[in-house]
Amino acid sequence: MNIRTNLLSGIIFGIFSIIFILLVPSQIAVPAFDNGGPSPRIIPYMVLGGTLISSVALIIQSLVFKKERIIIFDFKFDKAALTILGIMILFGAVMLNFGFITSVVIVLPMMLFVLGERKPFIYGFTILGGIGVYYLFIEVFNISLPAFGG
Amino acid sequence: MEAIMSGLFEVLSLYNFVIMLLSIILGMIVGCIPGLTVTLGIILLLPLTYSFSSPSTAIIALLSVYVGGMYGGSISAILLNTPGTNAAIATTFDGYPLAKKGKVKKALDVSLFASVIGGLIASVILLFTSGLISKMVSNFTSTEYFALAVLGLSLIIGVSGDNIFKGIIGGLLGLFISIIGLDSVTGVSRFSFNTMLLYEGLSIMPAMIALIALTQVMIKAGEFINTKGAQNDVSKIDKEGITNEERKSIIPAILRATGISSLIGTMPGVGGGVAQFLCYNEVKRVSKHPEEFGKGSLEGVAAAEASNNAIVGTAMIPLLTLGIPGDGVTAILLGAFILHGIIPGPTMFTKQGATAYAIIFGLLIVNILLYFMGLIFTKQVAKIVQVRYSYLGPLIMTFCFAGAFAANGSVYEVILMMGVLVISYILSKLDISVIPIMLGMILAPIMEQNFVNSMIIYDGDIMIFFKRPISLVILILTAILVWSFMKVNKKVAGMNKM
Repeated sequence: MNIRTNLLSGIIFGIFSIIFILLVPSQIAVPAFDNGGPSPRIIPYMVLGGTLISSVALIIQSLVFKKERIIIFDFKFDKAALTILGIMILFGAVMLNFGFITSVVIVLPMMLFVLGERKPFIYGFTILGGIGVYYLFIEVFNISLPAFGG
Repeated sequence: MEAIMSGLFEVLSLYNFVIMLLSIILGMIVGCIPGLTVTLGIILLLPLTYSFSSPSTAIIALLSVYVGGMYGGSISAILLNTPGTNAAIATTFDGYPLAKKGKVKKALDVSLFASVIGGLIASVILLFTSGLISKMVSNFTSTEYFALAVLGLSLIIGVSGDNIFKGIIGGLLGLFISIIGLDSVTGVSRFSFNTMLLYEGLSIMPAMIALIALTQVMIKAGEFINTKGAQNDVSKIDKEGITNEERKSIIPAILRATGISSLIGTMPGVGGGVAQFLCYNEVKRVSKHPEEFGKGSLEGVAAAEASNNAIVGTAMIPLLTLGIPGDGVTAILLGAFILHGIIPGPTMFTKQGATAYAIIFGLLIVNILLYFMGLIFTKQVAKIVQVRYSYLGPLIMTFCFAGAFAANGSVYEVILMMGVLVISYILSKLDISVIPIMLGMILAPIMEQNFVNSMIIYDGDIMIFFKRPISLVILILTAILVWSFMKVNKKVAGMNKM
């Protein structure tokens, strides 16, 4: 699938900015007391307005001036990165619910398998490395991480 | 003078030297392994720097990674014809042909010598100019600070490639992300949708990890799977190093490249990626042997390497004195400064003078140490150029998650980080760079705070930014920079096609 990145970016961020401009009144309250400063809504309006203008510019660039950058999305090729993305999210989910070490022991072998590693000692070495990272943070740098519990 | 001496004494400790040495090695490793980058090295080290004895030590450690990484990038450029960093692309032009001729050691020696000289000269320039510039700008008010933040945002155009609108959207997305959560001025919640998850917003550290480090791991691991771990042949290191005559012969090239790069480094947004090409072309133009360029010219390697290491020092000038980043890496460093409670900018040399000078002296020492570290460790570091990504990727991922959680100990931020990671993948498919997003996130609080202060002081007069002369000059300079970035981007796009 060919992605016309200028056109698609313009459409996505155009819709995004319109939705959030409409949400500003409900999502950003006006302070009860006037501190003499500008409204807390002004910067969001400026940011979202700028996004909308840039999105329109991208759409014009693509449709009127025919300036386009095509990126090919080939699921056969991209599924590898998507699988790694899924593994990363799984790592985070397991870490937050069951702890860092649990995540290292369960998810790292999955990642190694996807990466094509089959030698058992690599699995052992990587898990030990992950546990080493935990102890590096905890013992050497005194930074807390969830060990087993979320 | 007192601040200068305090800074010097602050940096001269065994603890700092050990940190610098280890960080240089880390930099050399991340710089030389294709797929790892200097930015990644800095982000990986950043959470660990929370436990360092002082903020200046933390920043010096990160700068050591930057300096080591710039040199490390040349190792893989010479051995594999694959630049370890973007700023080492020009090194491949002559470094790899030298390696093919069996002159690997000579090429690496030239690279190290040029890197150290370039880096040292730039550090000296930083030392002598930053104090003066900061005195000149010490009377800045919130109006000028706001204009400076806008100037910093102009860097977005510099890193946007050939489509500035995508860069602007990226920068605005960064500003938008930083808006989410409690407004620091009014205390009003913005776009939190009444959930605790969004109430505190997303801080810089987890965002940097998701947008840069984890995204790189995802893309590189994906490529590794698709190519089944195929790797280029690596050249072996011989024993014939650079001679004294050859060393003398490349000094003019090094000085010329350092001069050009130092000037470019002070301009926000241009960075080492552009400087190396300009220096390479200029040194080739004035060389007595231009015909050797591209076929294994020592001058060619020297120009490229002096250029990318000189950039490190002079890119710190706008960062330390004005609080605006000189390139993508210094944008990340600006985030690190803020995380460590250092406020770079006009007041840094008056309020945190000792820290400022400790950082500058630290950079100077790091460049000297790089020479010895390069002599001792290049051969060992070169051996890990071909480490399989399947060994590195999982460990980098664990480091990233540990670092993201350690930043604030917040479960919510790790959840948000995973959301940002998904967005980052989508952005990569839309060809939108993540550096403008980071820049937007980092500069947003400075911009908003000073905008609000200016509005309060000047009764909501939005034209005040054009009425105050210095602010007006900065804004005009911003417009000129944006225009020149657009021209440079076109030129670089042309060079890349060559």
